Amino acid sequence: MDEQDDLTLNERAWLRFLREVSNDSDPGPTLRRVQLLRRICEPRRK
Amino acid sequence: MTKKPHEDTRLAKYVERRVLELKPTKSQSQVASEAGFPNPNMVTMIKNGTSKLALDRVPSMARALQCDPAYLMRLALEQAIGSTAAEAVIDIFGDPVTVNERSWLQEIRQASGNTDPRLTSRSQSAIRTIFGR
Repeated sequence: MDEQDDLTLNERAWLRFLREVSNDSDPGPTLRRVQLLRRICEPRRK
Repeated sequence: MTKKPHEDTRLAKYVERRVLELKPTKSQSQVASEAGFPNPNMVTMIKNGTSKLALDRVPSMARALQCDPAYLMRLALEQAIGSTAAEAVIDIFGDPVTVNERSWLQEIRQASGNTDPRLTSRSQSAIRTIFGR
């Protein structure tokens, strides 16, 4: 992910939202946050 | 009365915070010197909003403040031309993405099995919970 152009429209939306909820404070992905994020992003199981 | 035209900018507040956080290991004069400012007072002037941070100084200042250059560039651009104009520049030339933001996006890609998930209202609520908002 070296180039800006690599980002999809959906990824840009995620990025904008992450900035909004963090007050654009550039938070790092801590272990706890990543674990929660994985739960959100996991593809739905049948 | 001294004019402080950049006092209320996010960059002034951020530089002030980083200088404070680095204080145990690095003096403000060291920050100024590492950023390449001949005048050590320049960091004070940026912190209190008397001066703005020149865009060409962003890379060295980011190294001196040990912060993400893309993040500092976003703040410097906003300070230099205002948030509306900065948004227009970013729309055309691209958004500076920080290392942390790249990590978030990589996690999203990995967690979703590269399915490019949409930002649904369910995921928005969950993200708000993650950040306690």
